[in-house]
Amino acid sequence: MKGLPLKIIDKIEEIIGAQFDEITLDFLGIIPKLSRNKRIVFTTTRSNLTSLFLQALGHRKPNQDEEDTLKGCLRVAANYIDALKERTQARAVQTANAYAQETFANNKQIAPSKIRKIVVEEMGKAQNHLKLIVNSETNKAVNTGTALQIQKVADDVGDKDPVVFFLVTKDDKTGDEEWILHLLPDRKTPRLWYLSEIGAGYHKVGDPNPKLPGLHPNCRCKITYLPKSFGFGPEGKIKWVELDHDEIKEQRKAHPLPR
Amino acid sequence: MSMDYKAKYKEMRAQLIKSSDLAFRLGYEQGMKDAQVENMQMQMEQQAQQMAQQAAMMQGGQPGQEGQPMSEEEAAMQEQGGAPQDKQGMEQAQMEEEQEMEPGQGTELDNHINELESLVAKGEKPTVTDLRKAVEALSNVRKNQKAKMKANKPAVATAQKKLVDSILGKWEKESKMTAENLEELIATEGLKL
Repeated sequence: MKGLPLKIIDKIEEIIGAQFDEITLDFLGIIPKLSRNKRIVFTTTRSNLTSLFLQALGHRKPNQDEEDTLKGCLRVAANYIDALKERTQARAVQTANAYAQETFANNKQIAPSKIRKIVVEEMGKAQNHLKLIVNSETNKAVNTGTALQIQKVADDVGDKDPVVFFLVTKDDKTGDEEWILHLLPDRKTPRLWYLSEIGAGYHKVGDPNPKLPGLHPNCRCKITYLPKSFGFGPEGKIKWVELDHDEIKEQRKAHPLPR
Repeated sequence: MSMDYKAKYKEMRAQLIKSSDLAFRLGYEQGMKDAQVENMQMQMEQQAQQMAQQAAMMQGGQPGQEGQPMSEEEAAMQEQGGAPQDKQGMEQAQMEEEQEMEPGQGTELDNHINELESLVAKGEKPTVTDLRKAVEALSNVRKNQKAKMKANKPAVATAQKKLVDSILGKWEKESKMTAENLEELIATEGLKL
């Protein structure tokens, strides 16, 4: 059964691939596969995943471990986008080819506008997935960069396992998991965690601990450091309590871990 | 199969009263213990104050200024302790609570029981309309809360949000351009379909 000529299939794949590649470069700032064995040069002048990570690090030059962490984040994001690119190409070619086979079987002429429509539809479907990837990967990069910076600051003051909490954007989109894992039952005071308790993977509903990439794909919660001697007032605001104050111990006595 | 709701109600009420009595007794006993400990502490404090006063008098100080002992009446009241008065007061309060609680609860429950009995007598099944209404009311409350939060919160444009918006904006723009170019590209490549 006759289908689309191979040249048209190539062209569809090329068009879709080119758009994905350009977006990947814009989003990541670099193509991590090209710089696998090279010392990479960073810039924060343009807004991209790399610059967000470096901003979270406090605009300083990353050390080798931090650079590797960044490359890991970029690699994961690039792989997700690559997978989406290949799936979009396959779906667009499959749909266009099926249309061509049906048209030829009925001895009719293929309409280029129809093929264009198929490609547009597939790009539209890919947009929702792209949004998901971009949102979750940016949050992950920002929180990972911030966690590295927190670790550095805590090391400087002799705090081996720093206490952290998440700044929650409270509005109509705030998820149920955030109310449970990021806030106390009063819905004002942040729930405290040791940095070692924060997971690095993707969160599943019902998990006992929060995660660096967030609690859901569009999570906007930002990780923050609570130094020793500081605690929370009745309105959930940070305040200095006393020199030896350990807020997390006090909090966990009054509010044990939710899961 | 019909159910005797009145008997069920009476049984539950009896259980409630029984558990309330038990809780009250336990609370009362704990209160007594606490009162005894408190009395002992106060007596010790009083003795210490008296000793301090005597010492001050020996040194020629003024006893009325610091560490002044309590009057005999106050001391007598403390020695007796608040327990008997507390006991009477608590019992009275409980009686009052019961008197206040029972008519209200009974009336509401009785109304529901009577309603259910009349339905059962007629051979009709009780509906779940009220439950459904309650669930709808709860979901409306949640919706209103969300709408209220939405209205009050200004949009926050973080660097992260700006990046996401710019990437998606570019994607949308270029998708349209790609689509426009596709027909043209097919024509220029000279691919005859």
